[in-house]
Order: sequence, then structure tokens, then C-alpha cells
Amino acid sequence: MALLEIEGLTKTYRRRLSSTPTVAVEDVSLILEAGRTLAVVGESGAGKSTLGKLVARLVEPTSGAYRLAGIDMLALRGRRLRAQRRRVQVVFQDPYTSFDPRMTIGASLEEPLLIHEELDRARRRSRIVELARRVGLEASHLDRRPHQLSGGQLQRIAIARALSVQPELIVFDEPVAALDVSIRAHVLNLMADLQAELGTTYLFITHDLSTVRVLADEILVMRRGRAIEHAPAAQLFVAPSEEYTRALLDAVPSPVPRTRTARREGARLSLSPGPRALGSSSGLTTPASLHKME
Amino acid sequence: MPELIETTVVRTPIAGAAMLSARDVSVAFPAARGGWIEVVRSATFDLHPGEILGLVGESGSGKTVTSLALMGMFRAGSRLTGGSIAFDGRDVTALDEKGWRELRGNRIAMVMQQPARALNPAFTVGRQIAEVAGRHLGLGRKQAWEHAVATLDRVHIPDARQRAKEFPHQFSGGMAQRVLVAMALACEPSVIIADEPTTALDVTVQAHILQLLRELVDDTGVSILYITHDLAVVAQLCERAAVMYAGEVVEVSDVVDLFERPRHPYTQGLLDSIPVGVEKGGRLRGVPGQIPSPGSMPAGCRFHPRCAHVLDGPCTTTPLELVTHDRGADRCVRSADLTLTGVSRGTA
Amino acid sequence: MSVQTSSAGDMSVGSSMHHAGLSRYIVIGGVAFLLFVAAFGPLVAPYDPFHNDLTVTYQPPSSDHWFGTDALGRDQLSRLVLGTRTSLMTAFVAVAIGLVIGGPLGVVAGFRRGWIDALLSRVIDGMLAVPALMLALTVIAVLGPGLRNATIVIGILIVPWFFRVARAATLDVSQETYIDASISVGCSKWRLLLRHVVPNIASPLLVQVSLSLGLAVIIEASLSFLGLGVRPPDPSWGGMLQEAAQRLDIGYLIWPPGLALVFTIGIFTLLSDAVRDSLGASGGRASGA
Repeated sequence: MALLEIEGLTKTYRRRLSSTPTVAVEDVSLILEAGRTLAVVGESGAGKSTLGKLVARLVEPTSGAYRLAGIDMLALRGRRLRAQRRRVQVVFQDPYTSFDPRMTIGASLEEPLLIHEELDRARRRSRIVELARRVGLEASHLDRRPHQLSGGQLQRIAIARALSVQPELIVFDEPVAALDVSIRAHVLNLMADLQAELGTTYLFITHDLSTVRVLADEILVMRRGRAIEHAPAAQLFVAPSEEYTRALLDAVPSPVPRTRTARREGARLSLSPGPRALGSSSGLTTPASLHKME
Repeated sequence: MPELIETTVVRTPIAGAAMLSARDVSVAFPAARGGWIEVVRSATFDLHPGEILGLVGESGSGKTVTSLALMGMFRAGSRLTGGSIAFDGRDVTALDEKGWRELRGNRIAMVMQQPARALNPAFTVGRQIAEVAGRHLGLGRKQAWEHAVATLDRVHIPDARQRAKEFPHQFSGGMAQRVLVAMALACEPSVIIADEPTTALDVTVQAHILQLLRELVDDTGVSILYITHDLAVVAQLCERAAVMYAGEVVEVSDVVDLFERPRHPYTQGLLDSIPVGVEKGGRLRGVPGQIPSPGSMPAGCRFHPRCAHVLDGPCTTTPLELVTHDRGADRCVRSADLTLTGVSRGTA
Repeated sequence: MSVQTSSAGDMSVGSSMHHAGLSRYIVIGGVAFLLFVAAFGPLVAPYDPFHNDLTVTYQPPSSDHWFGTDALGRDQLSRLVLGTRTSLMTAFVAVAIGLVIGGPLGVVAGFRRGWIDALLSRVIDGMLAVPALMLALTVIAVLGPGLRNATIVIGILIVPWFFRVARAATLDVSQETYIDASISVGCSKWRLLLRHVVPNIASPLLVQVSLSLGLAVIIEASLSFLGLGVRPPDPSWGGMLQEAAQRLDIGYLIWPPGLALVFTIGIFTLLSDAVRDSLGASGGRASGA
């Protein structure tokens, strides 16, 4: 049995003063096996964040079905819903606003434990110290406030908080978009390590195709609320079947500089490493490696 | 369709000399408890005519503060604490506000990150462009309007005449950014400073904006200082690049050299952070440690706590200077003996 | 765009901080002074504020009576001092009423939205639509005059402001990501409200408290001036102004209560500025340069 099953999930927003409703997510269906990572990619307005919120039950769908390990998540209410929430956790884009600014990091980490488990104070403390260490931080960080930590550290704490209740699925909504490029690796590597160790299933939402490859087993491309393509990651990068996917991949700038000759000749910008932009002096060889770009 | 009235202004750049030049520019902000905090230290680089220079850095690098200083803009009580700035051969370090107002929008223009916030929502885009053009070029109302329409057309906004009458909120992110570019272009400046203009945009939209900028440089010879943290954009767009870290310029180089044979370990670190060719199961590389905050800079080289090649002594005691060589400049005492590998070529 | 913390250096606007230091001392001094006078003044006042002495009516300020005497020979200074206690206590109680009623209603409206919000907001809007004095007069007409009823009326007048501030702040906080984060972690609505919403709306509410104090003082003075608040022979600044208004040729009758009012309201206004400044500056973060 697959972990995550979604059928025809739709979310429409109705603005009071407008007659036309906004469709954020339209008729999305997918199946995700446990322990795998599904990356949901797309541009702004694609509906990927909304999809994440639907899976996290932060937003109610207009229609459709959603089952987690066989349990109908949409039928849950009140106390039962709150209890089941531990199975799906979320890591948000901006680490600074995803923590209550008035609480210490330790208090924020403790909260899920207070809600879902019956541990005494000492046991809770040792649990959160262990969680902090697991994500590469010290116990001393626990007594600080969010604004006293760096973005990378906070995001790691956010992952620790998500892990504290041992969820089966974690929704990552653009987890590294707000972080400096040189420290994104720390967070992404941590995510990969934890998945290898715990077997948690990931829903990885991002607009940045280049960071997706290290984690994704499968990729879902969304556009204007609809699912455009769903394929294994390796396949999607090499041979996308949809026009839109191809356009997305082509638009990502290649980190290979245009040669001096290409510039002098006023060659058009190559945003996909076509042969003209590479020239012979840059060292890249076969056409196959051309499509290996992110 | 009425004839568009041509109002191109021809400017002859001084051949060879830099269009915009920063020498040892330092900027400090007032501290909460009195005193000053230096946010940019001794920034030096040149922007040549007709070139796109990338100014690369992460948060805390000082790249935005530096670019604002180059337009004589000092926010939140900050000021220039050292160095000089030259524009088109003329020293503008001590230029007064009146002098800067003549230059801004006219000879030097800025394109900022979020078009929604940079455009005035109360006026049509045509009006906003016409106002800038009219003021600096001395055009009458009708002429200024025609010029505005022509400029919008130049940045490939379809149906420019109609769209000039629309308000900023009626433009999508990418189109609004084009409007900002149009506004910057309106007076045919010699220099455009673009501060992360595509960071908030979708990748397909970004592609078009980059193409547009390239076209403008090829057509008009305008110089662009392009500020970004994205090295892939630098690879595609820029001829040369200056890398900043923790308030200092650490490397200036031709882009091909920068990517193939960088001379500063931080540049290498940035190149390593590009996730090229890493697949599932692989490791991404980054730079260990954290960016230091302005109040607590490490002694010696500011990057040394995070550097894989640090040498105790030369790297850890005295602050380093930017050393110019024939291919550019760098701020690393070991640059002569290190051979950094450059951007990886996609091997897993 | 990445955001970097700068814990060692704070890039706030330098110059305004020095200015804030001086006014902070003025505020602390002023409030302390008022509290002191209200608490201990009547104990050390030279005369009994109620004692009539018809032999010394309308005496100008002298070494016996520092602020002179009124129509009934009562010492102005002593009356002024007791009036301080009246004004301050009324203000505190009235603001407390406003906070205790308006605050929670505002939080409920902002948190639950929907029909509760619509209903409460319309009622509050209705209250605000009526001019304050008219509302006050109407309620007094129903309840009868006197200090206790006046305090209640002032409290009612202040309720809408607390409602609005609480509601707006709650709406803001509800949009924050950490609320979503807490929900996804399994927080119940009560826990959300008490642990996350209320502590984060405390700042604007505190500012509103300090703002309302000055407002309460002046409304009380107005009502007492009209004879609807504090009733004679109890001393109050408004009442003293009323008596002084009948003999405008005598300067020393009108200055003490007038200046006392101006001073008090001025101090409370400065207090609200200081509260707003100090709460706004804390817990901020510096963005990358």
C-alpha cells in the first residue's frame, strides 16, 4: 500500500467581490510510496504550495480524496485530526517566521512533544537536546530566540521540530529558497541523511530545478494548478515528455560561461548549453552531458 | 499608428577609461549604542563601457550597500568613510545631493528587485517613465509620452501604446520588471545598476529579462553592474565579475577565468555550491561555517574560519588587501600557490 | 533574498536613540510624580480639602495657601492633590474595563472571523459612530451621575479602541507562518490562542493602554466639568475648572487645575510614545546588506 494517495484533489478560492473563482489546484492525483521523495516543481502560481498545504491539512480541499497509509485524512476532525497531524509535518520556506518570536527555540521544539506525548520535563529536555544534536546544533542554541540564530541554523531546527513526532511524511515548502547559496548544501545534505536513516517520505516543493536532483526520486511538474508531468527524476531531466517541462529545463541558466569568442560575436545568450555557447575550449564533451544540466 | 517621435540621445564614452569606478570605498552605519559599524570595507572595481560586470555575493556581503554608494545613496544614516568614486572620468566622491540628482535616473539608473514596490501604484507606467524622461531630457509633455511609449516598446512590451496607460498592478512580475528596465533606460544612461532584478521572478521570465539586458548592451553600449548571488546567471550574462564577502571585494576577474581558475577560496566555495550533476545519493557541497556579522569580524582574512586552505599566521593576523594582477585582483595571500579547480563539470 | 542576523551589531537609526533617552527620563519622572501625589498627597496635604472657611474665600496664593482658596475658602492645593488621586484612579479603572471587555472580544473577532466578527464589528462600529460625549450623556442619563457611573461610562467609551486594536493585531498574527506551523504540529485552538496569539498581541495592546490613559483623564474631567462625573463637594480637576469658570476674572483659580490636566495628559501621551518606541525596537532583525 502506498503511503500517500491523492485523487482529483482540487482547491478553488472564491473571492467575495469577484464572480470568477481562482483555481489554485485542479484535479491533481498521485501516488507516492513510503521512503521516497516526490519533488513538486513549477513556477509561481503553479499551485505547488497549495498542494503542500492541502497535504498538511492546513487548507481544506474543495473536492477530491486524500489518504495517508490508507486512512482517509479528509474525514478527520477535531481531536482525531490533531492526533493524526503528527504523521504529516511541514518545514516552511522562511525560517524566521515559522517560529513564534516570543518563544525560545527549545520551547518551540518542545511543543509537539507536549501535545502528543506524555513525557516529564527531564525526558522532554533530553529529547530536544538529542534532536538539536541530530541536526548539527548544540544544546546552548535551545535557549536562544529565533532572531539570534542564522537562517541555516533555524531551518535545521525546523527540520528537528518536524522530526520530533516521528512523522511518516514531511512536506518541505521551498526549504532552502530563503537561505544563502553556500549553506543550502548543509540543509539539503541533512535532509538526505535523515531520509536515508529514518525512511521518512518527503514532498519537496520548489521552483529551483537545480536543487531537486540530489533528493528527488520522482518529479511532479505543475502549471496553473494542474499536474503537467509526473516522472522518475532521472528520466525527466534527460527526456521530458512535455513541452512545458522542456521549456522549464531550458530556461535554467547553465553555470558554464560563454566563451570569449561567443561573446565577441554577439552570440545570443545560451540558457541551455547548446553547442554554440560551449565552444570547443570549455571542455564539455558529449551531447549527453548537455542534458545533464540542472 | 502615429509615428513614434525619436528622441535618442547620443553619448560618446571615453574610450578605455572605466565608466564607473570604485576605489577603496568604505561605508559605515551608525550603531545602536553610538559609534559606527563598517559594513563595506575598501571595495575596488571598475565597470568598463559596454560591459556587464557581475557583483556577486550572499547576504552580508555588502553588495547592495556598495551599489547604492555608487549612486550617492546612503540610507539609514550611513556614510562613506573612505575611498573614492569616479563616474565617466569625473570624481563624484564629494558630489552634493543636487549634483547626484542630475546624475541619477539620467546618466546612472537603477533597476531594483521587486517591481511591485519600486513602481508608484498611483500613476500609470507611461506617466512614470515620461516624468523621468521629461525632467532630465527637457522634453515637453507630448514628446515625453511618445518617448515613454518608445521605451516600453524597446523592452519588448507588446502593445506598448496601450499598456503605457495602464497601472503597475496590471502588469505581471516579468512585465513589471521590464517596465523598471524601461524606466532605467528612459534617459539613455551610461550605466545601469541592476540589483538582483530577476531573483523574485520565475526562471522562464528570468531568461527573457537576461536576454533583454544582453540585447540592450549589444545595441546601445550601456554598461551594466549586475548584482546577484546566482553564479549561473553571471556565467551567462557577464563578461567580468567582482565577488564580495563580508563587506570586502575578494576577487575580480574575467568570468571565464573565474569559473575555470578562481583565485580566492570563497569563489571556489560558491562554485562548489552550484548543484551541477549531483544525483540522488550524492552529496552537495557548500561552504562550512557562517558568514560573520559586521560587529564581529575574524582577525586577518575574513574568510579564514571557513577556508580549507587556511595557514595560521599569514591568514589569521593582519587584514588583507586587494592585490591587483594582470588578470584581475584577489584578496588571498595564498592565491599564487593555490590551484583552485573551478566549477565542476558534472561528474557525479 | 537571504536574511542574515546581526546579533553583535544593530543597524538601527542611530540618531533617534539619543533623543529617546531624554524623553524616557521625563516620562518616568512624570509618571512617578503623579503616582506619588495620588498615593501620598492627601496624607500630607496641608488642609482638609472639604473644610470650608468662609473667612478666607478667594484668597490669592500666599504662604498659608500656596495655590490660594476658592469660593468656600477651601485650600486649592489640597483639593488639587485629592483630585489627582480621583483622576488617576478613574483613568486606571476605566482603561481596565476597556481592556478586559474590548480585548477578548477583539481577539475572538479576529481569530474566528465569520459571522461573529461581522456581528461584533458592526456593534463596535455603531458605538464609534456616536460622538463620545453624546454616548456618555446618554448612559449617565440612564445610570445617574456620580463618579462610579462616570468611570463605567468612560470604560465603555474605551472598549471600541481596545476591540479594534486587539482584532487587528490578532488578524495580523493569524497570518503568520508560525501559526500554521503550530497548527500542523497539532495545536488546539485554545493552545494557539493562549500560547501564541495573546503573547504576540501584547505589544499593541500595551501601547493602547498608555494611549487610553490620557483619553480617560480628559473625559473624566469633561464629565466632572459638566457636573455629571464627580459631584461636589468631592474635589476634581474638572469640577475645579467649572468653579473657576464662574469667576474668570480670578486667574489663580483656573491655572492649577488647568495646568494639572495639561501636565497629566502630556505625560501619558509621552508615555504612549515611549511604550511604542521601546516595544517596536526590541526583537527586530537586521536584513542582509
